[in-house]
Amino acid sequence: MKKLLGTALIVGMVWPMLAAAEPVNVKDFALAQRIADKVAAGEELNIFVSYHDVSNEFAPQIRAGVERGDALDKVAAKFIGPVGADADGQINEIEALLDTMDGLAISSVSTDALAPIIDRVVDAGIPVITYNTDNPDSKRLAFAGQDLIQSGREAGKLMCQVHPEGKILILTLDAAAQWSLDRESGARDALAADCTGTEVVQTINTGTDPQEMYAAIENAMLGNPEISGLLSLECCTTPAAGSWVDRNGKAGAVKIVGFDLLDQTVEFVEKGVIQATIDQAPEAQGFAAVDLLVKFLNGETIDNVDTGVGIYTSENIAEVN
Amino acid sequence: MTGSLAQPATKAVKKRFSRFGGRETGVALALLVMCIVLAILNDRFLTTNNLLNIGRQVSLLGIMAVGMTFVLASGEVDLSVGSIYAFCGLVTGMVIVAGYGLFPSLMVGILAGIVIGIINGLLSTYGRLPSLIATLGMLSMVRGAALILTDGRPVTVNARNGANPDVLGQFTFLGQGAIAGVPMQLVFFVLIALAGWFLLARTSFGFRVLAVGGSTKAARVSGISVEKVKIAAFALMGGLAAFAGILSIAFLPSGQAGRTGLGLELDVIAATIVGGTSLAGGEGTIIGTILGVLIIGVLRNGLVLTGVSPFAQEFLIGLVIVVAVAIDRWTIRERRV
Amino acid sequence: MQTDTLPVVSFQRIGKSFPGVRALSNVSLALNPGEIHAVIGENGAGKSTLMNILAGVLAPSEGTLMLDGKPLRLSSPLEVRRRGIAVVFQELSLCRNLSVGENVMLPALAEIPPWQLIRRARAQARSREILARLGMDTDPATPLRDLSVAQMQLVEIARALVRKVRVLVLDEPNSALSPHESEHLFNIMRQLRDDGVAIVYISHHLNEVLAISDRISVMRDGELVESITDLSGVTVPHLVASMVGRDLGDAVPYGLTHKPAEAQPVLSLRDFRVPGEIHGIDLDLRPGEILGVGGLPGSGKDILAEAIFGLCPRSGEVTVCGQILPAQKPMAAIQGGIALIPADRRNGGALLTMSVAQNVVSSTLDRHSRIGVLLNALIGDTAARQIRAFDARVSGPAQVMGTLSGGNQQKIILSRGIVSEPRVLILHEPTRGIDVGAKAEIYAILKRLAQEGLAVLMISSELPELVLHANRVVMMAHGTLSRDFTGAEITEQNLMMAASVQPAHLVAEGAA
Repeated sequence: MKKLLGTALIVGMVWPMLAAAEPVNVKDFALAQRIADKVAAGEELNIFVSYHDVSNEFAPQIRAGVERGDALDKVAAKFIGPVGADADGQINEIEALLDTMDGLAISSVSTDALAPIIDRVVDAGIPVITYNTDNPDSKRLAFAGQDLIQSGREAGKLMCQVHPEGKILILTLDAAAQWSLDRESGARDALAADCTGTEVVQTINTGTDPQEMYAAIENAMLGNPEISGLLSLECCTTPAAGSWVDRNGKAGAVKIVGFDLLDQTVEFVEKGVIQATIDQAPEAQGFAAVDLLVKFLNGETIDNVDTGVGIYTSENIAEVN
Repeated sequence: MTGSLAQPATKAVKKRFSRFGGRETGVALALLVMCIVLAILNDRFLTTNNLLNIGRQVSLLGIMAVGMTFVLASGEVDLSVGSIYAFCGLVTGMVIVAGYGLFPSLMVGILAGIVIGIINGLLSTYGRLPSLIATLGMLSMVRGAALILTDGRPVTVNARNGANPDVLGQFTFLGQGAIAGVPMQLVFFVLIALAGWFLLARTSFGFRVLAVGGSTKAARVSGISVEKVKIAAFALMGGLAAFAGILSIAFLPSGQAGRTGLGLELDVIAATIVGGTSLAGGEGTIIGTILGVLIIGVLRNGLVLTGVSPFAQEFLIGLVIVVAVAIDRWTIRERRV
Repeated sequence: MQTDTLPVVSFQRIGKSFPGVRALSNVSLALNPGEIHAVIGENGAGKSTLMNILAGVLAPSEGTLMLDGKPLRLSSPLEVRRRGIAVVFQELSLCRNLSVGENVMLPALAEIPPWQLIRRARAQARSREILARLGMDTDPATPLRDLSVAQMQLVEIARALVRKVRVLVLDEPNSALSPHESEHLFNIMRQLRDDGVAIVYISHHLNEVLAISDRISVMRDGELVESITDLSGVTVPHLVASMVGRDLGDAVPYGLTHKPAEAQPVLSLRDFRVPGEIHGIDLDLRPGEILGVGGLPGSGKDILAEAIFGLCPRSGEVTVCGQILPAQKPMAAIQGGIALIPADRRNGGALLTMSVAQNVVSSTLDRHSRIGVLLNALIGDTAARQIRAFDARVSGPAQVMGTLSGGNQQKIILSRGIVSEPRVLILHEPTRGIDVGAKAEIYAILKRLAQEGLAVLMISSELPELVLHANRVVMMAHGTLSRDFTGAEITEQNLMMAASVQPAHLVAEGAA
């Protein structure tokens, strides 16, 4: 099985990997005069990086990337956003800061809700890029991050490799969220295309509280004892699925593919309970967001940046600090 | 199904109802009907394994609902319990990760919960804020404090992060262990429910809680210190929410301040109200609360077992809450006129 | 007066059962246009149930309710109101946040469909008209909360007159009205009667019932005892006997003959003040006496009981048995030997959601528990003993307090006070809303307690109560105390004069 997995590792951590899109340059952008003056005078640039929920587990890592960007010469980068995913809160904050920002990077919890504010900021002559979660319908200049459908597809492929046949449950803490729907469709596509021996029985919506998640997985497994594969779409149901499989002595019999590198996830990969996990490199996303804006303001032509997916199995999990 | 209650009862039957609470009969019947339907729909429902699972799944909710019964019965409400649950669980986790022993770690968490509860009580009595507002503020403040304290990072209680392996073993036993096959969480829930029942039904404190909730004025005329009773109810709630939060992090040795216990207060209040405790105060029993908790737990479990879609589950849970409380209120109306 | 017309409403063999209780059985009663029909009976006799059936709040279990000779199907209160039947319950159902005019017009306004505009000016003019008919010149724009309880009661009645009314039920309409206001209300009732309205008048004030009614129906234990049309020769004692089913005779005590002990006072007030209400009074209460305190609304008497007991801020000195009581510490007052029977049972005195037994012991929990654990057997014993001692009619210690009649609730609250073994018993409006039978029993209990050496402070708005059942009376006016009245000096005239010392018009009213 490990041999099989080896072939999946080719994607690796590729950064920055330029995707095909339209490169943009500041010459083609109606930059606000005050920002142009600041750039010309070599003053410090105020870059704001707005995240859709600064209280979730990625926020600290993305913030770390933003802080790395803040350390760049003549850059003051700030990490902002609402506590708890809240589109209104995110919009209000951006509106309040509009006159002080020289560049905005934004990860939007809701594409439709945030496109108008992105367009307003762009119309005010302030460059906007998206990171982590894209908003392709807006006037944003470029995107730095991982393609959600693509990452879902990667997860599906990995599942197919470790678990070519049998019944699968998909786990997500918010089945109705756009990111979840994107990853789910990517995963289902990949499974349907490459893995005709598998069947996705149900998508389980676990809720966000750790207890709730575990209970939901427990109930679902009891209701579907023939399940042999668990595909988690995010950070948090991954270790919960690991805990259930580990505690019920099903390690190896029920395969798990999930996302991210929470402490428990790393432990379970080491123990062989979780077969594979996909890292989104949130720190790299935070840094890329600042870096792209600074480059753009300084006249460089910029384009979408793929911060890549990192795939970890028991073979390479030791690389995680 | 509750119509039979409205029939003129013989004296003996009436006496039994008044002693063991005719109030709970409606909820008990609702639970029974749900269980029968689920047992017919899915043959895995009635397995020992599944019943123990349900027991464990409702334990933390149940522990908090016992506390909430006191708060609601005293005529107040506590919206901050989900935040207390997160804050105190995470604090205890952090203390253990910092290498301290089991007892001091538990004490820090539980005391933190009691202190927050006392603050809730002080604001709602001497501070003259409606408890709805006071605890709404605390809901936000306590979660904010948890985020500040953890810097938004998940807290994972494991040896790698610095926990003493012996302490870790004891701590995880509290959440994950079992005695004679019964999960520890369920053991704690049963013990706390028994103690809560005794406290509410058999002690002068419970009496005072019900009196204060029934009529502040009448309680004062009886020489009861309304403020102290309410503060004590909030403190009890805080301590129990903290303990539930600690068990949560002991069970899944990881928590995150933005996520753990989010929105839990509504589940706790819903379970308590379904169990017949009056939002207006003065009425409430622990037996009713346990039934309310079980209704919600059995429903969650049963809906997944029978393969109902996640979105339909949300709808059905809400429906059952409304129907259960409606049946309860209608039967009371019948009895009270 | 027309009496030979067809009845507007007739109850035909109406019965009503609640789980375990038979509230009404086989009641047949006709309400004729142009007649004031008094319905009397002790609390719990079934008057309220009967009126609730008429109001459409309850459906009868048996029998038919006929309107204009046709059976009236189970209908909503609104439907009943549309048919011209208005019931004014004793308990006020007004919105304190709205104006007087809005309260009067509320049922009418509530019927205006949402797409129609409310014509405020017209509604206000109409409400002014109706209020004037009741002798109130209050501006309809006045917020309701600024009114006295008496005025609110009139607003409640005014509300019933907005629509054309054929049957008007008044349940204790003048319980908070002054004699002058009551007389005015009676004139309105007579005027409505002469307009052909069928009026049902429910009251405990039997003198007034005799004075105003054309027909008196007496109810007892859910049944109609008698319906008297020829009122000549009918006396109050006759009605009382009919209501209670026994001859009270000597049970109604007249005056107190026993002499209180010439002992040291058990309760002393010195320079006792309540901000804005009581301006420095001195008072001594001796064991064995029943000291009556009267006064008009606003005189300060209504805050006196709670202030002494410690439920509201006060200054000055309160001494019980030589010990100075701290302010605002009810528990200290109980431990010092004071028991309070507050005025408002529904909203303060009783724990309505709890059992009789729990109400009996609620102020003596420490004595009925050991290390915080309730001694249920002891509580049951205490409750059973008190139920017997006060002859409270309850099904048992487990009965829920809220299901008792007012008189029985009051007995239980009294027993709660007695269980704490007080030296001083403070009663505020001890017999408000209680039927005659229970009243007499409560007076007898107070007399017995006083004879046993308890000091009783009875604060009351009802002058006859003070005249007949106190050894000594003081009146309050404008936050100060009058001189003592004892023995033959205690007459309604003297007391009323003392109560109305300052503003001259009150003196005139009191004499009326």
